[in-house]
Order: sequence, then structure tokens, then C-alpha cells
Amino acid sequence: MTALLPDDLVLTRRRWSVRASRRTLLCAVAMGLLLLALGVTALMVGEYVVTPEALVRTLVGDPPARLDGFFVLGRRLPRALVAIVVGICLAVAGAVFQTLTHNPLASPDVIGISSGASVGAVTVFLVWGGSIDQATLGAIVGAVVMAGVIMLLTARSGLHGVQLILTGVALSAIAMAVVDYVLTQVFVASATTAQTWLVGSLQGRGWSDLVPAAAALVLLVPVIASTAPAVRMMPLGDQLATALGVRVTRARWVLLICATLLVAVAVATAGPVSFVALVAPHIARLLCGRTSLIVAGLTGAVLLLASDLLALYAFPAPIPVGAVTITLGGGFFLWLLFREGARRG
Amino acid sequence: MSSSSLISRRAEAGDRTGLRWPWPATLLSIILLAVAIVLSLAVGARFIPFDEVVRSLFGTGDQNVLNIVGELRVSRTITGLLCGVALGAAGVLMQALTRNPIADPGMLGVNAGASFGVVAGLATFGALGVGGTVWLALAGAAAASAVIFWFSGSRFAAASPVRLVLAGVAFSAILGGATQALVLTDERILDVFRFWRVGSLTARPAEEVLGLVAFVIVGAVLALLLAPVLNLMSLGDDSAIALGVRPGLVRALGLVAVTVLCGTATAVAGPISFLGLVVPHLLRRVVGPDLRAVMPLALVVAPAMLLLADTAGRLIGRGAEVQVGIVMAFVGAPLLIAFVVGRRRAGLS
Repeated sequence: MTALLPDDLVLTRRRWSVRASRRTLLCAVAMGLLLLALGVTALMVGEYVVTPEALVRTLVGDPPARLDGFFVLGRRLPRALVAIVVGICLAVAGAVFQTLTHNPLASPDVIGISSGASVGAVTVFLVWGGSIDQATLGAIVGAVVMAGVIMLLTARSGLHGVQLILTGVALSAIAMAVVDYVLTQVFVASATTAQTWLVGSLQGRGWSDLVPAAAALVLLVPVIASTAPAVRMMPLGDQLATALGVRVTRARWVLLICATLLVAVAVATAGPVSFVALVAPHIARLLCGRTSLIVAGLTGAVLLLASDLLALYAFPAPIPVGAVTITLGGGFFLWLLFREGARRG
Repeated sequence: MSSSSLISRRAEAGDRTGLRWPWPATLLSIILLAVAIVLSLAVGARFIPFDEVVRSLFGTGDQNVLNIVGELRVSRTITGLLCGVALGAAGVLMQALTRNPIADPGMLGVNAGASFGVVAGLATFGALGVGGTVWLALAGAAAASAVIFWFSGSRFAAASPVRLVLAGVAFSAILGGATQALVLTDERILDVFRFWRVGSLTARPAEEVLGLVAFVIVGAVLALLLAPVLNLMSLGDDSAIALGVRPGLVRALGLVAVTVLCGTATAVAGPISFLGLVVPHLLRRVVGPDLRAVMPLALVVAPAMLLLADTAGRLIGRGAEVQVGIVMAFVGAPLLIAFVVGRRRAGLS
């Protein structure tokens, strides 16, 4: 691919240059605008409606009424930001897993990494009575262990395609059995809290929840982006890529670890919200014709924020956002399976 | 070959061609079941010696023992037998009907359908006895199995057994999401549901469970009757039609049987996965693929395995017992992984 396509934009400054396809840029801008629109909606609507004018004044630091300030700055803004950050984390992780495994179905929630994180977080939270921060650590440990087990099984048998998925499903079943057991051992109030968390919920998420997820995003995404040249060479095959000077194995490990950490942080923040990690990269790919982390991330944010709005206002009582994403995403997963099957004939 | 009617030719081909009944396996299965029943009655937070178990079964002996064995352990043993028979038969049927060696009613979403039916009922009508629950579970299971069979009949699943299971998993996930949404709207439902969901043999009192024996018997008899015909269908629909089988009718009857069996088991004990996967596998290893042998043996081995899992769960937890559904997940999921990993080179795509 030495000859640039005519619709590619190239930006050159002294020693470096950036290439981007027009279509990808367009998609990113469109997604960004959609996200902005959803964000504004999320800030304005609810039982207490904030007018556009009041919203602007609140955001610049001069709320017309105390309630405006409370709802916009104290409640809705942090919740929307958490949705956006978690959505980006999940979608980027999903895109990385799908690229690494060459498997359109292999997102972290499908192959069991989210379940691993759930086990870690629930164990710390309910069994040892840990705080939210400790639960985050537990989620990270759980996710890493699960990723390790999958890697072990994969490395020994060279699992590809649907086998990898089914192995993950089976591991997930074990993990969820552990979670279910823990849930029966506690009082019903804790069980309710944990259950809501296990479906994936943004209820009551505030500024303090935003910090770990945002920090992870800021730290890990540049690392993931830095492996982009190596990833571009991977389709050539490991030998050729290595011959061309790309450290394929190292890049793969870096990606795997970063993506696992992103999932763990997302799960610790909002619970194992299903299928965003699976669906967002697909939608991004359908839109811009290639895997773009930026578009995938923005799509994930749009999906999660939109699902949260649906979960809040589309039903008689607010339900956890995970119940919306699992229903929509499960349908999408089925459609993907059918399409894959139709292709193979 | 006196009669030339298709029916009897089918019977000729299906019922009498060279099945040597596997007596050793039968004997072993029956011993296993007997051991499982005795252990289920004897083992628990308080261990009761065998002779006392026998004495209390006849209504004599220590009053405390009588209470434990009579009230609690007999009840859960009966529940275990019933659910084991139902899930074992349903597993064999499901694998035969979908021609898929890794089909399991739990994983394919039939149990999830039954769960959804039950929770929808709880949400609509409040608390229910097992009588009401079973009809809701049956309705949910029927809808779910109809969808699964539609999947399995479509072109996309014919090529790969794994794909059907994945479709089932996704379908379960959708139903699970809907179930969760309902459960979380009401703390009372959650309180009932969180115990029911893990799959437990103590969820229902024995009198209510005994009311459902008829369902399981109907389902099991249907399964036994279908076994020889399903043998013929394993050759493919065309060959089966040539041999006088009506595949549509067999599938419909099989669907009814799976629905009745899974719906009842789920109504009684909650969703228990993997039993329907593990038992047929084990039996095929031992006695070969002939369903005329596999099906009856499954009716013996499956309850034995379920009772053993339940007994193990009582011991592992040391007082705080581990529900049987959880134990089964720990037994069944590794087996599934082993199967998937092992079959890779056999061209399972």
C-alpha cells in the first residue's frame, strides 16, 4: 500500500506525517457530533428538565437555580462522562481483541474476560467487604487470570474461530457459577446491589467513579495506538512481519495486557455491561470500512450513552443499562453468527 | 417380513437390528444410582449411618434422624431423581434431534426460556406455587425450544455444531437480559429468584414435586419411544424418509418431549445446565451411539449424577451448601472445553 488512495489526507510537518482516510475522518466527526448531541440530551432531560439556556449558564459556572447546578454538575454530567469513558474502554478493548484473534466474535465479554473481572470484584466486594477501589483491583486480578487461562488453552491447542469463543463461554459459565454462589451467601440487600452491578449499571455513578476509568483510558490508549504500525504488519504473517523489523510477539502482548486492563477498569466502574465491546467495533467497521480505534471508541461511547438514556426513560421504572445492551447486543450477535454462517455456506 | 407396510418395515429396521444390550453398563448404572440415593440420604451437615437411614425410612429409630431423613433428604432426593431423569432424557433428545454432540438444553436457552416464563409470572401474579410455576415454565420452555429448533434447521447451523451452541448462548443472553430487567424491578422477586436461579434441589417441598411426576413420566416415555426412530434420523432426513420415518412428526414430538422435560425440571429446581451435555457424552463413550441403549441408560445415570453432584455440594460448603447447579457447572464446563479442544483436529469448524 505505497500508493495513497486519492481520498486519503496526508498531513506533513517536518519529520512526521499523519495519514487518514477521508471516510474515517468523516465517520469520526459524525460520531463525535452524535455523541455531543446525546450528551446534551442526557444533561437536559429527566424528571427535572433543564432548559438549554440554563444548561449553558450552568456549564460556564453560573447556574440560574441551585437545582440546575445539582442535577447537571452533580448528577447527570458525571454519569454521562462515566458512560462515555466506559463505552470507549469497552469498544477499544473489543476492537483490540477482535483484531488480535482475527475473530469477529471474540470480544472480551463473549470470551469470558468480563466474567473473570466480575468474579474478582464480587469476591472482594461481598466476601471481604472491600471498598470500591479494592473491588477495582479485584476486577483487574480476575480479568488478568481469566485472560491467562484463555491464553494457556489457546496456546496449547492453537484455538481459532468459534472454538475460542466456545471455550470462553464455558469458562464464563464457571465464573458465573462462582458469582451466583457468592450471591446466595449474603443478605438480600447486598445481593440486590451486587445483582444490579452484575447486569451493568450506571446508577449513582459520580465524579469519584470517573477517575480510575479516565486515568486508565489516558494511560493505556496511547500505548495501544503506539502499536498500530506493528498491527498493520500482522496480516502479512508473523515471519514476514518479523523479517520486516516488527516485534510482533511483543506488540501482541502489549495489546493483550492493555485491552485486558481496559476491560477490568470498565467492569469495575460500571459492571460487566455486555456486548458493547462486541458491537461497537463492528458498527465502526461497517461505517468506515476498516478498523479504526477512534471511530470504534466513539461508537462505543454513543452506544452506551444511548442505551443508558433508553434504560432510564424508555421503561416505566429505570432499569440497569446492561439489561438494554444485552438484549440489543444479543440480537446483534445472532445476526453476526447468521451472516458468518451464510458466508461460509 | 410378513407385512409390507412402512410402519412395520421401520420397526424392523429400527428395533431389531443387532443391538446387544450392554448388560455390564446397565448393572453399573443401577449400582451407581443406588449408591447415589443412599449417599444423598446419608451425607450432609450431619452424617447418618446407613443402618439408621434404612431404619428411619421404615419409620422407626431416632426422632432427629427421622426428621432429617424423612423431611429434608427424602424430599431433595426425590426432586433430584425427577430432575435428573428429565434433564438426562432432554439432553439425549436434544443432541439427537439437532444432530449436535454438544447441544445441551441449558446452554441452548431452553432453561433460560423457562426462567423467563417463571419470572414473568412472578412479576405479574406475585408468589406462585409449583403448580402455577410449572405452566409458566412450560410456556417459556416451549417458546425457547421452538426458536432453537428453528435455528438448528436453518442452513447456517447445519455446517457447524459449535455455531448452533453459540446461537443458543446468544439467545440465552437475550432472554437473560429480559429476565434480569424484570427481576431488578422488585426486590421480592430477586429474593426468590437468586436461590432459584442457581439450581437447587431444596427449592420445593416434596408434595409439590410429586405432583409433577406425571409430566416427567410422559416426557420420558415419549423419549424412549422416539429413541429407535431417532437412530434412523441420524443418517439424515433423506435416508430416514426412505426408511419410513416422518422427520417432521418426529421433530415435533421430540420438541414436545424436550419442552415438557426441561420445563418441569426448571420449574422444580431452577435452571441446571450441563447435565444434559455430560450424561449422553459419557454414555456414548461407554455403550456407543445407539440411542436404544443410550436413552434408557441416561434415565438411570443422569439422576445418579445429579444426586452425586448435590451430595458433593453439601460436603464442599461445610454447612453453607453449594447448590447443585453450581457443582454441575464446575463438572460440565471443563468437559465442554475438553471436547472443543479435542475435536479441533476432527474438522469441527
